Amino acid sequence: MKHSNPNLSLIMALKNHIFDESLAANNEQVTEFANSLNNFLSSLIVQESRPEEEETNKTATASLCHDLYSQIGKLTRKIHSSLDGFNKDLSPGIGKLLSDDIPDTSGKIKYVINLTEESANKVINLAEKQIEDITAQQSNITEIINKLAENNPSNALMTVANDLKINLENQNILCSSVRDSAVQIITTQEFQDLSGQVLKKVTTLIEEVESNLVQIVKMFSEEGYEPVAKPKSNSEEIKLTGPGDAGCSQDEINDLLASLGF
Amino acid sequence: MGALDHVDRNMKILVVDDFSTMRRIVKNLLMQIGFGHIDEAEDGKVALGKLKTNKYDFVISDWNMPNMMGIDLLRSVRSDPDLKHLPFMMITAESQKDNVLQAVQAGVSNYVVKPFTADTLELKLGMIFKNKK
Repeated sequence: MKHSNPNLSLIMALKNHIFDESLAANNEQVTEFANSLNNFLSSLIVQESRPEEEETNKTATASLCHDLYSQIGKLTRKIHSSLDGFNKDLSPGIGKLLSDDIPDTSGKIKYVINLTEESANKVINLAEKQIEDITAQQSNITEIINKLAENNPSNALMTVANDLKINLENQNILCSSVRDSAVQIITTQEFQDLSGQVLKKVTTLIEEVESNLVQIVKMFSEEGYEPVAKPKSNSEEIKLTGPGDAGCSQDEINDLLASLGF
Repeated sequence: MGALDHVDRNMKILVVDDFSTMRRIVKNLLMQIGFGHIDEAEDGKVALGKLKTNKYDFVISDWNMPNMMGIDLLRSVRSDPDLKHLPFMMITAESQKDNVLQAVQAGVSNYVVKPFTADTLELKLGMIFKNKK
């Protein structure tokens, strides 16, 4: 449609565009705003196309202008409260994640790496020591067996009696040493518990990051969002830090216990 | 092993930890010292159930566990007339002073921090049972 009045063409084009946009927007407040704007533009169209009814048109336009103004106010307040909600509900959590939790997590992962490395080295050292001890014993036993074979059976035992005695004593020592190593190997496996505890915390943090991201997505979606309350852990009166954080050594704890009469 | 000479090796011990590796380690160390009657529980709740239905002489518990924390297990034990005299030792990675103080207030018999050694375990057992037979 072509109009001789250029203002009228412009207003009508704008009106059609807003009508299309308001249909696409699935949001009550946007639709309300679009309706107000639509009504306002309609009155402008009337004003432009019937200049002879100037006074009546001006009154109608003024009332619609007020309505539009109040809709803009509503939208502004909604944006403001959304931003406010963003600051209150989301920013502190993200700030803590960025400033404390994520650097802390990299420290925890380093702790796990060190712990598993130390444990692996300890177990390898113990196994190497056992191989060395057992190999020495074995060559000693072979020597005795050879001596027994080389000699006349009647005096063979006499010739190796002393060697045999020393060997049995060494065997005895070896048994204790192998048992000690086995106990140490078992004890060393506590890295599995300690690293497991630390990795559980890292997994919890990842879940927290995920839930914060979900919250951002929800917040900027058309449905609006509900801030998610962080679940409180039960009966934790004192913060549990677990392994990997600077705590007291067993000696320091023993001193503390001693001061309390233990 | 002198510190433990007087300790009754037939006592029944309950080891409470949510990590099975740690339960096996503690159990093995106790067996090396000569204890043969060792039972396990994976959290405070399961442990409390076992303590109420079976007779135990000693509890070794972790602190941070699901369902029921070690500190809450300790409190439940101390507030139960049938269980309150049970020796109760913590073996935990919670090594802050506040944790130790909280456990002492709740009535812990002794406190070991992870990672620990077989010697520490023996020493602590010796201290707990020095006046008991």
